[in-house]
Amino acid sequence: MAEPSVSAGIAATPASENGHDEELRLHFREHWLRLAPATLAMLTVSVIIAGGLFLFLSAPFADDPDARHVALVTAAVAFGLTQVLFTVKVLTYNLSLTIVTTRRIRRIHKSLFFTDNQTSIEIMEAQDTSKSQRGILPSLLGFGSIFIRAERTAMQMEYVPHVDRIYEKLLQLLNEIKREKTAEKALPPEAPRA
Amino acid sequence: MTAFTLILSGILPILGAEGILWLLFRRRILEIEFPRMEDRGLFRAQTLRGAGLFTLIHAVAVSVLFAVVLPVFW
Repeated sequence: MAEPSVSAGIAATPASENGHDEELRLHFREHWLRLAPATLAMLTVSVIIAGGLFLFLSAPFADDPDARHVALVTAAVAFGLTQVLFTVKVLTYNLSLTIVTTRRIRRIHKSLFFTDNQTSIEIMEAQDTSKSQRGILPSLLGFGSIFIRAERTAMQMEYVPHVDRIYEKLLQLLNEIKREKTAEKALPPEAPRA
Repeated sequence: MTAFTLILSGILPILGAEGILWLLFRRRILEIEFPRMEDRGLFRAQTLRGAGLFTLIHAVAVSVLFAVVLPVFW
């Protein structure tokens, strides 16, 4: 299986020229392990189809050309469908994304056909953040969950790849925003002009 | 049925189906917005290249399998 890219791009770019002060900080997909059940299912079904076809072709009645053709076409259609469904799973995995900007954290979950879910949490409203990494696989492969609670809402991100690094980045961003907020409050009011 | 017809009837549906899936994927990726045009362009290019490569390799692998297995056992 060609391993799909698990991108955790990090950008540190200045504000755009059009006055839009929102900057991209990082974006990531879920860990590739999320594709493991689909891959295992595809491999299992493929092995069953190949085994069934092999057994059929070894049987004495496989000498009949019509029976052989029906078996081959059935196996080819079943195998083709399995592979197409696997492609759908891989492409859908690539459509689930988390985007962190200087203003908000946005989770996008789309499917190829009908689903289009987007949830967003304002960085300014974020109150508590926590990270969870439990079990052997998460520790070995470095993924985990990040939970963010805001005033009115909460967001749980599961299967976050490089969870330590991404959590650190998030904390850094939250601290930056808080520092900016404090600095704004500490500024003396403008003196009235004469 | 000749071997050529057999191979084509195995390969074409797979290539067609995976091509349509990739086009649907492309349409969905183009809907994702980023704050800056540069980031959006980079994300689209990387994602479309990765997914396109996977779809192409997968479709070709399945097609080759069909092209080998079907004529041999037909």
